[in-house]
Amino acid sequence: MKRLLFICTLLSLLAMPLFTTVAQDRNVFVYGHPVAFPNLDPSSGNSNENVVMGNVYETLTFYNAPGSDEILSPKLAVSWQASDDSLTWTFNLRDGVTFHDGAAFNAEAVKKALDRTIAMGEGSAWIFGMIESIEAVDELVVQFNLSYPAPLDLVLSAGYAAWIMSPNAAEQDSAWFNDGNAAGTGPYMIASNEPGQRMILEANPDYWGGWSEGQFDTIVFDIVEDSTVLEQMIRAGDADFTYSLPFDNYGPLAEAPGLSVVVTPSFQNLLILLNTVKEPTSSKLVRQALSYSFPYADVVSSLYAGLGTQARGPIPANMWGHGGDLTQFSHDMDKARELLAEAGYPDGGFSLVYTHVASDLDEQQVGELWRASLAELGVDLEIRGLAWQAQWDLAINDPASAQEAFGFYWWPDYITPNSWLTGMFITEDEPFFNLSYYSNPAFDELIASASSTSGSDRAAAEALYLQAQELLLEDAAAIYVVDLPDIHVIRDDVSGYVNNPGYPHVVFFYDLTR
Amino acid sequence: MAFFSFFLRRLGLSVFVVGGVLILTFIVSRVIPSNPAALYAGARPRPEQVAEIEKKLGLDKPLTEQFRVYVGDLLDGDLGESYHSRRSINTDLRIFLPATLELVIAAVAIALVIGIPIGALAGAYPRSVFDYATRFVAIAGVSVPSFWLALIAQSVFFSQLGWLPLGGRVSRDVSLFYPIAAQTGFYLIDAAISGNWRAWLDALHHLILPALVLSAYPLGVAIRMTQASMLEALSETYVTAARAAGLSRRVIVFKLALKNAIMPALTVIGLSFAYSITGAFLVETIFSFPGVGKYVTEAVLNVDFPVIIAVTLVVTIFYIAVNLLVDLVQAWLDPRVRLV
Amino acid sequence: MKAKARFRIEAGSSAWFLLRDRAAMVSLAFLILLAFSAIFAPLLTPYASQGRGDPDLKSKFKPPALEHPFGTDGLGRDQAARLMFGARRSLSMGLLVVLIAIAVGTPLGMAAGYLGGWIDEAIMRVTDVFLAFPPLLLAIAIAAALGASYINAVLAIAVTWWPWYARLARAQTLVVKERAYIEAARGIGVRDRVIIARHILPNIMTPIVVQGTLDVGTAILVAAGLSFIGLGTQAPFADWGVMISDGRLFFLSGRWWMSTFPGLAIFLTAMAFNFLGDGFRVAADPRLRRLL
Repeated sequence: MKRLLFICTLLSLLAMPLFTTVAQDRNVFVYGHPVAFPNLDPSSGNSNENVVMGNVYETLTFYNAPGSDEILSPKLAVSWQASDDSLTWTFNLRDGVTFHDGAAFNAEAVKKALDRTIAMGEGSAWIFGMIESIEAVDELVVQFNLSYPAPLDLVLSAGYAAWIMSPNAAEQDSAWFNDGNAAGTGPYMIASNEPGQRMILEANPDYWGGWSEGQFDTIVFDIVEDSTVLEQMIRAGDADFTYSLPFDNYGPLAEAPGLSVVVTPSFQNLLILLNTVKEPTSSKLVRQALSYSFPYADVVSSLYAGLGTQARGPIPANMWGHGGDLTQFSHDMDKARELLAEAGYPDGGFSLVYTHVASDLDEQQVGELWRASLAELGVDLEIRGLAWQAQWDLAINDPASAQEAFGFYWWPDYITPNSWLTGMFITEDEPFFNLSYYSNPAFDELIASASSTSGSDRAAAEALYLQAQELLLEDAAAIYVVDLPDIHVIRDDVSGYVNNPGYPHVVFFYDLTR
Repeated sequence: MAFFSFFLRRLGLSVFVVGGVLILTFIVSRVIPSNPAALYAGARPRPEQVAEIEKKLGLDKPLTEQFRVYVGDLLDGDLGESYHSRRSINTDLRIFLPATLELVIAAVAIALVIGIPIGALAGAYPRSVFDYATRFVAIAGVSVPSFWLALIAQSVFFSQLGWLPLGGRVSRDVSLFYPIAAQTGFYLIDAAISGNWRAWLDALHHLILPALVLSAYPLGVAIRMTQASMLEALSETYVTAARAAGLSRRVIVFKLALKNAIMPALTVIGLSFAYSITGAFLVETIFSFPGVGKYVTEAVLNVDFPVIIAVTLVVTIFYIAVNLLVDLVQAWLDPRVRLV
Repeated sequence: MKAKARFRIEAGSSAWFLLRDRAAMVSLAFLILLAFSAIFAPLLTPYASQGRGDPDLKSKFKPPALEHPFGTDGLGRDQAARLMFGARRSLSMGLLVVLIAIAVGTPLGMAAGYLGGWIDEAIMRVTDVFLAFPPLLLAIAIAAALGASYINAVLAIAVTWWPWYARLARAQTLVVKERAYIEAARGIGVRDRVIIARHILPNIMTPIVVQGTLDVGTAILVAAGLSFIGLGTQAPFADWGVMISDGRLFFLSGRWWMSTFPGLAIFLTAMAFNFLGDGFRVAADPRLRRLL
C-alpha cells in the first residue's frame, strides 16, 4: 500500500510537464474569479453572476464606459424615443438576431422576458417599478407604458434584471438556469458549469455581430475564493484576468512582466451612515465633528494604497450627478474638537458603535483607523463585525437602540444618482436603507422633482440633485469615505480591454483579441 | 444471539440520537437567528420581498408547525434550498460530499498506513530513542493547526519546489480537454472507470497536498492508539510466560503487532473520520478544494443557514453511521465489547 | 479523612514522577513563560497600544528585524506585541472552554453516575446527541447563529465539549461509589448532595484535571479555527487565529511573517499542553507508570 502510494506520487510528479504543454488549438481566455456565481437566473440574479450574464445575454440599451460621447448606445434596440411626458417609450429592435436555442428575437420575446422578470419580482426587478405594461406593437417594435415619468432607456441598460432571455427559457424556473442552462442572444454560450469551481463558455458561432480573427472562442471562469491563489495564478500566467486582490499587492504586480494593472473609478463607494435619531449623533454638530475626525487621507493612501479617492458627497466621481464643487470634509482634529465642545462634549466622553460586514477586511480597517483618531477626542469606538443581515437587522429594528455608525457600500442597480439619494436619504416611515434615519422635507422635495425631470431634461435634473446633495452635506448625515476604484489585472498580450463601471467587473470578451 | 441483540440495541440508540440531532439543529437554525427571511432575500432586499419570503418559507407559522414541516421535508430527502445561491442543497451536496469523502478517505488511509506500523514499533520498544521521537511526532500531529500547516505546505511544495499544484480538484486543461464524466463524484473512481488516465493522474496530483495536511491529526491519533495497545499487550502475563518459555522477543512482537493492530485501526477509523471532516472544513478553503468544508465556510460568511444546517445534519448522520459500523465490526471481532 | 490522607501520598509519588518527565517540565516552563508574557504584556513591550489595536501606518509591513522581531502587519502594528496580547485571548479561550465544560459536565456526570435510574439514562442520552456531531461542526453552526464574538465562540465550543466531562465524571463516579466508606456514609444517612460534594468530587478530580489539561490544547486549536473563519475575536483585538487569517492574504506573496509566528504560537502551545497532560496522565496512573 505504501509502495503503491509512493509510485503514484512519483508518477504524478512525472506527469507534471505533460499538462503545461497540452496543445492549445483553441484561443482560451481565463478569468480568475474571486467568488462563485450565486444565481444564474437572469431575472433574479443581482450579484457577481453578472460577469456571465453580460456575455451570454444582452440588454436593449448599453451603458457606455465613462469618457464616451453618449451615455447610452444601442444593443438589442437600435433606436428609441420617449413621449413628451416620458410616460410612453418606443424601442425599435435589431433585426436578424436569434437566441442560442434558435428562437427568433422580436418584440414578443422582449415582452415575455421582461414580464417574467417583473412577475418574479426578485433581485433587482424593482427597477421596473414604473412599468405599467409592455406591448409588442410590431414584430420589431416594442412599447412601454409607464405609471410615472422615468428614464427608461437608462433603466433598460441595467447590469441586473434587464437581460433578455429566449421565450422558451422564460418559461423555465430558476432551478433550470442554475443547472447551467441558458438561452440569450450574447456572443457566448455556457458550455459547462462545475458549481463553485469552474464555468466554461463557448463562442456563439451565429452571433449577430459576426466574428473575426483573434477573438476568443473559449472563456474559462476559474472560481478561486482565495486571493492568494488568484495572485499566484495571474503571476504564473495561469489566468488572463482577475481582481479583488489586496490593495497592497497591486504595486508589485504592476511591475511584474507581462501584466497590466488597470485602475479606473467605479460607481461603488463606501459610506458610514450616522444615526441622526440617537444621542449624541442626533446633534448635527457632533455629526460634523465626526466627519472632521475621520482620517480620509490615511484611509485612501494606506488602506487603498492610494488607488481610491476621498468621496465628495454620495455620488461617485465620473458619473452624472457628481458635483466637483460640493463641500468636502477633511481630517481636521481642531475643528472636530471645537464642534464637539460647541455641542457640549468638550472632552468627548461618549462611545459609539460602528458595524461592518464581518468578512470585509477593508471596512474593518476603516473602523480601526477611525477608532484611533476618535480616541484622541475622548470618544470610544466599538467596532462590530456582523453578517450583513445582522448588521441590517440591528439598524432597522429600533433606531434608538441601533448602531451610531453603519458602514455601507452602495452601487446603483442602474446608473442614476437617484439610486443613492432616494435609496439612502429620502424620508422613510419605516427605516429600510435610510439607515441614518435622515428626514429633511426640503431634500425630499428636491429629489422628487429631480427624478420626475430626469426622463426628459437630464441637465435640469442634475442641477436639482446637486442642490439636494449640498443639504445632505450640511447635515452631515453620513461620512463619505471613499470612491472605490475598479482594479483589474490583465495579461499584456490581450488587447481591447476597457473597464465599464456600469457593469461591475464584467469583461466583454467579444471585444478582446490575442 | 448476543451479537444480534447488541446490534439491535446499538441501532435503536443511533435512531434516537438522529432524532436528537434533528431537534438540536432545528433549534440552532430557526430559534436562535433573528430574521431568516431577510437572509434569504439577500443584500438590499425590498420589504415586500422579505414578507413574501417569510410566507414562502413558512416562517409565519408557529415553531411546532415549522418543526413538523422541517422533519417532513427531511424524511422526503429534501434538504431545502440555499438562501444565497437558491440552488437545491441536495444537488450541491451530491457534488461536494464525494469530493470531501475522497479527501478524507485519502487522509485516513495515509494516517493508517504510516501510523500503525510506527506506533506498533514504538510500543514494542518503550523508552528507546525511536519511542521518544514517535511520541513527539504523534503529539505534533495532533497539535498543529491544520489551516496553518496548509499554508506552510503550499509555500514549500508550490512556491519553493513547484512540485504540486496550489489548489483545486483538477487542472483547467483537464476540464477543457479531458473532462471527467461524473458518476460517483469520486474523481479517482470516475476517471478510472472511463479509462481517463490523464485526468486520474491530475486529480491524484491535486489530492496529495490537502490529503497529507489533513492526515496530520489522524496520524497522531493512529500512532498513539497503536502504541498504547501494543504496550498493554506486551505487559500481559502470557507474553511474559512466552518469553520465559524462550520465544524470541521479535517473534512475539511481530505476532502481537498483527493481532493488536486491528482493533486500534478500527477505532482510529471512527475517530479520524470525525477529525478529518473537521479539519477538511478549514483545509479545503485554503486549497480551494470544492468540498463540503469550503461549501460550509462560505455559507458561514453569507449566514446561509439552510446550508450550514444541511451540512451539519448530513455529515453528522454519516458520522453516526460510520461509528455504528465500526462498533458493530468491533463487537463482531471481540465479544467483550458487546457487554459495554 | 482517611481518603484525603491516601490522596496525599499518591500525589507525592505522582509529583515525583511528573518532575522526572523532561518533556512535561519543559512544556510547563514554556506555558508559565507564555502566561507571564500574556499577563504582563503591557509592561513587556514598548508597543502596548499597538497590541491593543492602534495602527501605526508609518511602519506598515516591516519584515522581522531588531525593532520588530516578528515584523509588523498591514496597519503597521508590532506583531510581537500583537502576539502577546493575542495570547491573552487565545489562552483564555482555551481555558474558559475547558472550565465551562468541566463546570457543566462534571456535576451532571456525577448526578448520572451516583443517582442512576432514569436520570442517568436521560443525561447520557443527551450527551449521546451532542457527541454525535463531529467536533467544530456544531460549534460552527452555533457560533454562526449567535453571531461572531469572542464570548460566543467560547460558548459555542463549550456547548460541544461538556458531554465528554459528563461521561468521564459518570464513569469515575461509578467506580468511587462502590467504595466501602461511601456505602457506609450512605448507610448512616448522610445526604446525597453532601456525599457527592465531599466524598465523590475530590476522588474523581484527578482524571478530570488530566483530561482538562490535554483538552486545553485542543480547545485552543478549535477556537483558533473558529477565529480563522471569522467567528471569534473581533477587531481591533486579535487572537492567534485571527492573526493567521489576517496574514494569509500576504503569505505567498513574500510577507510570510504575519501568519507564520501566530501559527507557531498555537502549535507550540497546543504541544505543550499535550505533553503536560500526557505527563499528568502517566504520573497519575500507577499502571501506566509501570509500563513506561
